[in-house]
Amino acid sequence: MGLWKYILKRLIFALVTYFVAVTLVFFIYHVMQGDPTYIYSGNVHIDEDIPDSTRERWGLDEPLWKQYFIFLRNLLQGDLGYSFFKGKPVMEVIGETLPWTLLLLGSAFIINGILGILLGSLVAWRRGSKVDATFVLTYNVYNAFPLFFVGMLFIALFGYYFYIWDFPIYFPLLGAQNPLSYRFTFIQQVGDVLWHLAMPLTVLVISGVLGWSWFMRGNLINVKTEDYIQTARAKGLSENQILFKHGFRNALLPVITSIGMSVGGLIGGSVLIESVFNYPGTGLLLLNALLENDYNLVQGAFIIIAGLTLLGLLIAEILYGFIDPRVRNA
Amino acid sequence: MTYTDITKKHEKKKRFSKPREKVNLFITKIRATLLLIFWEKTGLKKAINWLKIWFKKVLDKIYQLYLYLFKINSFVFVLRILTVLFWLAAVSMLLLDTITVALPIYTDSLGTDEVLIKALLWVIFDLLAAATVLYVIVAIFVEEERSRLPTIAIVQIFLILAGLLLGLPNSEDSVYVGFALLFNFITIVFAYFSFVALDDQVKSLTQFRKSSKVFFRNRMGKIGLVILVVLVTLAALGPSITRYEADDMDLANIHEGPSDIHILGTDKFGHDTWTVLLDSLGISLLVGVVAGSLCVLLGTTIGVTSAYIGGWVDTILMRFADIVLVMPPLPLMFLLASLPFLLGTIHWSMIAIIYVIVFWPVSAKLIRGQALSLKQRTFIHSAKASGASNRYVIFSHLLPNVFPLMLTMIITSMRQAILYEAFLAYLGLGDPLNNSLGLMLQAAQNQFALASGYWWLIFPPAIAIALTTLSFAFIGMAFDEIVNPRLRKR
Repeated sequence: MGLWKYILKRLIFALVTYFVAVTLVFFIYHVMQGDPTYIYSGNVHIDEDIPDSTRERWGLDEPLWKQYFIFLRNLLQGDLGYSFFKGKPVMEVIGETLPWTLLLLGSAFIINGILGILLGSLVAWRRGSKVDATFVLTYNVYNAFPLFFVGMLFIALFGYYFYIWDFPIYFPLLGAQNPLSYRFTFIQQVGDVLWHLAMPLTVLVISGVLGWSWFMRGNLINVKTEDYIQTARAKGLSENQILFKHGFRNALLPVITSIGMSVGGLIGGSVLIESVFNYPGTGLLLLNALLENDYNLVQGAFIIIAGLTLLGLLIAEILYGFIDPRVRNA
Repeated sequence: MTYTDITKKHEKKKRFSKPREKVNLFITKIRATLLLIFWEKTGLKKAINWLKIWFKKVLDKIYQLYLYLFKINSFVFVLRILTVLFWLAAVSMLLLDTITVALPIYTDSLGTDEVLIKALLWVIFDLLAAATVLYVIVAIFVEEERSRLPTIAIVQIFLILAGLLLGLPNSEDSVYVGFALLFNFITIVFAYFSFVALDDQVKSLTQFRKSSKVFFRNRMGKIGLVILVVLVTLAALGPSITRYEADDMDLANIHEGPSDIHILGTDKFGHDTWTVLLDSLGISLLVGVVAGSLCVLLGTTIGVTSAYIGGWVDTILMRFADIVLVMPPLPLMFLLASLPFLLGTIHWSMIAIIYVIVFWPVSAKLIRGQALSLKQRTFIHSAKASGASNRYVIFSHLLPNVFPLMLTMIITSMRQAILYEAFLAYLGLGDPLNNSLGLMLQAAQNQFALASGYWWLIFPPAIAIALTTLSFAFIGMAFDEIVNPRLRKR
């Protein structure tokens, strides 16, 4: 079976890549000089032997290769180490943030895909019209501004000034939930989460939709110059039939391959958005951990984020194998 | 659907568009009258037409002179000698730089705690750049090698730039490197005109003319070029057209709005926003240009190598590229930028290098695809069959055909590099000592600029970033049309 062999091949490649990424992030942070237990230095309330015992407990006094294998063993058991700053296991800290990232990423991903493909094909089919010209201009202008600047504008306008000007609706400045949301009923809680999600999601979705439809537009324009479209037109098919039966399907194939690639960019965007909107996701966690030099947490967050990217890529590639039989045999 | 149905449909469409046609007619009439008044009656049209014709005449004369001069052997010979002299001057400058500046820095650091590997790399790259002079000696004896001298000179300029980047910030003080760059640039121009055969020169000139025609027919390309030229001149003139230095503090006017003392107001510390803006524009453009071009150059080298050699080299390189490619770029950049030994002294050159490390696979993959498809073409096969060496095939057939794609990618890569530098600076992982547009935005955010109404702190840097990236995007689109004829509007 070509398909299963293809899937197996992709799976093995993804695992190897993940292994390399994990190794890379481990060695980047362990070749460096420094000691996580320095956090205790200068704290007079702590016994002198606590740093030593901590070092012994977490295997920090072992040679590097031994630490690496301990790290791998722990990773296989789902243990990412201990965050000395937060005083909690890394897995627990990430577990608190991951649902929010998945919510933001997942919803953005689905909306991007659907709206982007539709808008892209509309724009490409009307190439040269006013809709197309507006789209090209919007795409270029919107993408020219850094994403975080758009986020800043959104916060200032919809969060701050709408509140100041007594508009009937305004959006929260930060966070993913009302701090008192545990008192709400379930429906109120859902509404609260959606209300907090609205602004970050909008910023992420606008850029995503524009990017996807730009890509789709390019593909469809290329397909439009192919000979079989000319043939279809000569056969007397209507424009709609040509668009959906010949153009759209062929232009969609490269878009599906790029789904996987876009996950990385989307995660980068979500990191930016999370930090601008103070949305408590894994990206913000990674950034804060970096700035605090909390290495174990950085390691853990990067491993999780890289895993998400790889998972997205793997799913897209398997999907592509189902759709396009040519890939399986290559 | 029959023929008559289709024609009926068309007629319907026409009937619908009739009122719009009237409006269009009205607009064209107004435009024509306006043109008549401001364009023809003032004599502007005549003057510009006359200028155009004059410019063309002068260009033609220069071209004739060029053809005439370069057929005289003694003239070309003098040029060649000048080229070699300039080359020697550049090399001597590099050696001076190594002996008087770079080596002492390295040897002084040897006994201390921090050995400056950067200084050692600086020395090595300087010496490598100086070593290109050996090729000139080869070219004196072997005639076939002479046409390759311009390429070697370009390689030299990149080696010098690499040494400069790695030696930063120490090498900023060295005057010799600047002179070496200048001499090297002159060498490239001279070497091209004196060592490349006249036919090849004329051929590439006509090619350039054709491409520039396509480029200038595109309105977006023109606009992008104009914006970019304006921005670059502003950044280059920077200190000379502002009244202040970037770190001057006017403590009497804190958080002042735009006035005649400060064109774009001041921030919390009394820095003049206009001055800081020009300063950071220069750094941002520099990061973009350096990172973007280095990234694509590395990608091209790896892509062409892996496509041409093939086999296990190809497999290993491309697997490696895949591995880097699937990692999320921004988090990976965070990771590299935050490495403790960098964080203390992260310089913008480091950000450029990080960008190159993260983004080379993108260009490598695209270039490899192009090179693979070129490798299957008949002209490469026939060149090989007639006994051309690998080096000849790569440098005379493969690279020139990959070059247009490379140029487009360099432009898009520069745009992306500027944006990523802004991201990193905004998130606090950038170069804290030099102003950059992202850093300005971060500072504005920290001063609650939008909520407090200090719009002059936040909009100028944002608009500067937008104009820069927009111009790069427009130029890239115009280049796309040169590369891909399918996109041209017929």
